[in-house]
Amino acid sequence: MHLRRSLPALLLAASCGGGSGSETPSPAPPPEAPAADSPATPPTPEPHEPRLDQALQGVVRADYAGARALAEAVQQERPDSARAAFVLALAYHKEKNYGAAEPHFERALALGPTFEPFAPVHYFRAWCLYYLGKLDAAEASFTRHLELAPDEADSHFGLGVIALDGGRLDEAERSLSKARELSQAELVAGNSGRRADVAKAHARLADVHLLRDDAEAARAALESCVRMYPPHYTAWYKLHQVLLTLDDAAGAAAALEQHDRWKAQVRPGSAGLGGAR
Amino acid sequence: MRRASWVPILLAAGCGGDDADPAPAGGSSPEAPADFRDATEAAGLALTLTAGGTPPRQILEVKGGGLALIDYDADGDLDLFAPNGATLEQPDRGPGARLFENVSEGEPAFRDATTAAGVDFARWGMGVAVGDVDGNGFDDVFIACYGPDALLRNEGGRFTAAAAEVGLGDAGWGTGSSFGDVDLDGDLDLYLVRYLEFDAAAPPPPTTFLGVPVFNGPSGLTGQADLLYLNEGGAFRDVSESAGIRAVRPSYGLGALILDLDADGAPEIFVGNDSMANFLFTAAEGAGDELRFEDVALEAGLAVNADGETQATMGIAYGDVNDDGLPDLFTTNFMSDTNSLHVSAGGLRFSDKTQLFGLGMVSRPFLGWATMFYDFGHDGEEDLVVFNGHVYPETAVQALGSSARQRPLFFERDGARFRRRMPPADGGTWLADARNDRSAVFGDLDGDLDVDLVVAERNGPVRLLRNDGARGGALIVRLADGRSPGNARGLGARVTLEGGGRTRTRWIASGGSYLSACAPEAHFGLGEERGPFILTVRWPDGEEQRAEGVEPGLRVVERN
Repeated sequence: MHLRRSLPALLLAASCGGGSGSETPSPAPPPEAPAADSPATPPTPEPHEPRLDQALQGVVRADYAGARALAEAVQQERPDSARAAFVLALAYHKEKNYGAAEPHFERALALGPTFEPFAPVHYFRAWCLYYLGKLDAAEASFTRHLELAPDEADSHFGLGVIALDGGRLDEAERSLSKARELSQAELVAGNSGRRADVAKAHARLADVHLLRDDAEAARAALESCVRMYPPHYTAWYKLHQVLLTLDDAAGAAAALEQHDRWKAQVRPGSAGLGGAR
Repeated sequence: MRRASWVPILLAAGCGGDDADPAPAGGSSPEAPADFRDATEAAGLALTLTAGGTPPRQILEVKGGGLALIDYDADGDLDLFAPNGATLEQPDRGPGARLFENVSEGEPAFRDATTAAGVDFARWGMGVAVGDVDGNGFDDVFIACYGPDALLRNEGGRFTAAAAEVGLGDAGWGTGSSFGDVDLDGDLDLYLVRYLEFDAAAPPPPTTFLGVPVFNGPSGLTGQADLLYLNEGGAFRDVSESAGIRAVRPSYGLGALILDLDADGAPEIFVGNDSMANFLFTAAEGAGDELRFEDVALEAGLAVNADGETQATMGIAYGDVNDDGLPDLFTTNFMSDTNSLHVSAGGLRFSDKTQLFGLGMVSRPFLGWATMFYDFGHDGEEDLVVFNGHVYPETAVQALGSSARQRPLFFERDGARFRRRMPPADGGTWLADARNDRSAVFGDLDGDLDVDLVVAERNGPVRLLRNDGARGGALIVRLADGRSPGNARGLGARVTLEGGGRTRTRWIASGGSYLSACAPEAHFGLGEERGPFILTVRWPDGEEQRAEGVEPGLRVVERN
């Protein structure tokens, strides 16, 4: 029970995964239902290990080395701990060291499901594989996660960006629209943390429109994005480009100014594009 | 039981190959690629380039060095020049440049002509550009250096050092360079890309990346402003200030391309910068007859990628991916980022269509350098090749789950998208060969009308990859401009070929690939088409010349 309470909260706070820099995914609490990765004889549930809770707290604090040390200590004692492998993977993943994270995700997957909720293993593994360019495997992992958690907006979002990279624009639009709808529903239900997720879905839907050369539709999507979540500086840049295409020089300049302003806030020290010359 | 059998399999699968090359993503194919065979040894091309030490300790050591294809003896074939680098211990005294004369007769063959041709250059060479700067009918060699740049003047197949004499020899850290007629007076001007302030005798202390010690830079170090030299009767004058080149922020530049991107008759200068916004210089509004540029990269959509992020632009390829007659630009970037394809939308507007063309996430595990579009297979569609290799020491890259040695990427067209060709399962081909590559040059080295290539590894042997896989005919177009006082090769020209219901467009330009000078010719793969074709050359001065009844083969278009 302890795990069921603490892990979702930690994962929520960790806000791993996501697409571009200003996209700030915040996955919904994973489902409480038993994982469906059940072999013929389900693996024996792991005993609760408090050090892994501490390690997850370390991940949340960005103390990745500390988190890894704790998880590795557990792993030394209990090599068959899927949760230790998962926490280790997560510590590398959050550090954006996806190459190092991947084998630990695979190990967690192979050893589990021995803890609950197990579905996040598929979710984070999917993003890890995505960032490693292993899109087929990432797509399968997102799909698996959605079998376990069909209303997880960020996995629909993941499928959307993968379809986008594959040039499958209709499919991308469907997945990204679904992600937007799910996040929007949660937002309306009072989860204000979903505001950024709705915005980032708008922004990626704009990418679909841009790849279709539909500048007007892209403009509408990007304006929805920045209206909903002004810190999305990537959307401001895209809006700048779209407005240039639409011969709205003044609007483009204003969008660029917003881009530079928000980027400076979100990523202090980064150079604005308006001051590039 | 089940657990015991799964674990080792999944763990092994998760470790990746020697270059952590991911399994084929959607849009890739395991079939054999255009068949390149390593003909280095058979061709007598014994050459290992130096670029610092291994493992590299400083940023100066990781850039590698360029190559050039040059017909230095004007005998009609492409010879190979390598400026070569040096080491931190003796940055101004390396093993020296090498020149190999092409003596192919059917099979590619080269003979070391360094001494015979008087090539005497041993500083730290980086980029190389080829052009006849004095109009004497023989192509000269410009070498962008760490330290004073060099110009090797070609006097009938013998080279003499002439940088100081002609007003060149900047002492900064030169990287890429490009010849082009930027003032449209008929001769070749020079754009020199520079990187950053670096003192080999007092290098910056190392830093860490994900906890692993790595060299410092470029971020945090001081960028160097680029230089534009105008050719005035064979001597050069630095006009960087008056021409507006210094109006931009000094950046970590690596490559340049001089080309008329909007087909308005005046060339643009595209500059690829590492970790900073790229430049696109075009004639400034209201400049009139005055030579004055302004940077419009941001407005053009070329400064950054689709997300507005600066990239570590290394290599530059140009081609026409959508048959609209306008040049599109492909750039290679750092690992954990994607390469970028900017497609012309007309005028000076470009759209990042990387994903639409299938060139996005597939490149994310790779750190890309040399690249170029060519129809290697002669199926009528231009392919794309990218050579890769990491800059960090092997131990650091392994900690990231990758390797400093990385496979090349080869993409063939499949309808509207590029499809990566994977190496066969049993390996054994150039596509399976993970290296720490940097530069590459492309051209028909053995006279069989297909495009061969020479690729240079950082601190490794140069390889000649002979194209044995092209099927069908081809046309190679070379230009000979008798009117030009130095641009006889027509650098900056556009060449179009009409026939078979379509029009294909190529450009002959200096710059592109990575730090290198490729063959100054236009190559068209024709498949089973036999023509006759209509060939139109738009010379750099805007004049168009049309020839009908053109057939496959080698064609030299002359203007007198």
